[in-house]
Amino acid sequence: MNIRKLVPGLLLVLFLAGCTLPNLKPFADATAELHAAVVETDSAVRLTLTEAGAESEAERLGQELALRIAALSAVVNYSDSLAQIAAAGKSGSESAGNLSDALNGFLGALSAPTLPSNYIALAKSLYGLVAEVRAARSFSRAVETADPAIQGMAQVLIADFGDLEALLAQSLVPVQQALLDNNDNHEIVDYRMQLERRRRQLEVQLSGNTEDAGTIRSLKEINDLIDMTRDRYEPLAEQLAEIAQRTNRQILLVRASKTALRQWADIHGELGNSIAQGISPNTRLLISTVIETRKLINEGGAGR
Amino acid sequence: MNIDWDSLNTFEEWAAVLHQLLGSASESIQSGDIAKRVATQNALHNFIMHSPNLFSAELDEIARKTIADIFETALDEALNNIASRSAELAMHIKTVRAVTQQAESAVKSIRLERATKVIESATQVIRDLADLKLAISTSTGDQALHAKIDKTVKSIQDLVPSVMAVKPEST
Repeated sequence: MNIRKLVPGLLLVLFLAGCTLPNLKPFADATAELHAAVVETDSAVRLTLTEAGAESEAERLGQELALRIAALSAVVNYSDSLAQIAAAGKSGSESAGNLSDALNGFLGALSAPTLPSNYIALAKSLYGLVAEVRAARSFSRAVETADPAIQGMAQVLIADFGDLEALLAQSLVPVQQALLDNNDNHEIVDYRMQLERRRRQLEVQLSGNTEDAGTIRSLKEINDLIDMTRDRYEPLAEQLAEIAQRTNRQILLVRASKTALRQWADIHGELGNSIAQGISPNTRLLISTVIETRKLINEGGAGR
Repeated sequence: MNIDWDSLNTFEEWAAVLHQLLGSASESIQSGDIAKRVATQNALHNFIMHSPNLFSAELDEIARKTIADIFETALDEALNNIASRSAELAMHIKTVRAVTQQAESAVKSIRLERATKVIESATQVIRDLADLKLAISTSTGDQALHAKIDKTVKSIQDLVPSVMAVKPEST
């Protein structure tokens, strides 16, 4: 077997050009965080609607949001594939080495002499360059083809998040009301509110005459009655406050996700230039936003 | 909406405040002003909390229903808006998936995975055929099959340089 016949194939055809592949790992990682934020928002909104008594609407919305999660899954895979192209371009000599090993195994099976080591070294070195150029071309083509869809997708998702933010804001009071409607909680709230109202009236009276014994006695009685409501009223008040805090956190998560999506789409729009200029995309702002979304998720964005 | 709840004493006074809040709810639903809707819901919630059950149970029920009306409007709007964008989104997903598939194929090509795999498979076939040839030689001594194996090995041997010479697919 003529080993020399194998070498031109191993070296392939060189088409050198001055492109450098950007580091896409931060972009791919940020995309994965965005996916997590959408999944969290989906759970949060469905839980809120269910608590507000809108179970069937929660289900309908869940079906729509499943498509949004699928969209984010698609862009996660897409971003990963871009990062893999860049990685493959950077490990060209390793790929050439693997191919050389396979060829040497083949030659060994034929009991033929193996590839000369200087051929392998040359192939590895040359393919290191070729792989990078091929990767840059593949990368540019993928980014260029995908960009209109990526921008369109971001636009749709940002609009969706706007609707979800409005919906969450208008869900808070209905969820609180649903809690009040449970177990006749209205009665204890009403009783406590009237006691507090009476206390405020007495305090006003007392400010006019600080030594009025009757008012002082009435105020003490009211305070004692208020104390007696603590066991039932305060846990309820805490639950109402927790619902408000949770909803505010969910709204902040939706807002941060909206911002992150905008930044993400902008970076994608600039990726073509990044390759041409040989610079990595500036993901600083996006990373800072996704750190914020992660923090909100960890604090309990949905039902915790 | 600053309302001094402590200043309301009679049924008529509570009813007048509720009337004002209902007007605000109606306006905010029509205008789509989210901040105004939320403010109105909060005011209605406070109305229910502060009004004495003794004579305002019916008023509370109206307030509760109005909160629900605002919420249902928001729900309908969100569902309709989001659903109206789904077809467009599905189209974009399709494009992104297609590009991803091409990109994954490009990665394999750049890593020379196909060529490496073909050569590894060819190596295995040659080894298996060599084993078979050995078995035949020692047992049946079938010369015809022996020759066929040699021919196959030669074909594979000739195939590999061709595989190596294949230019990478458009990536």
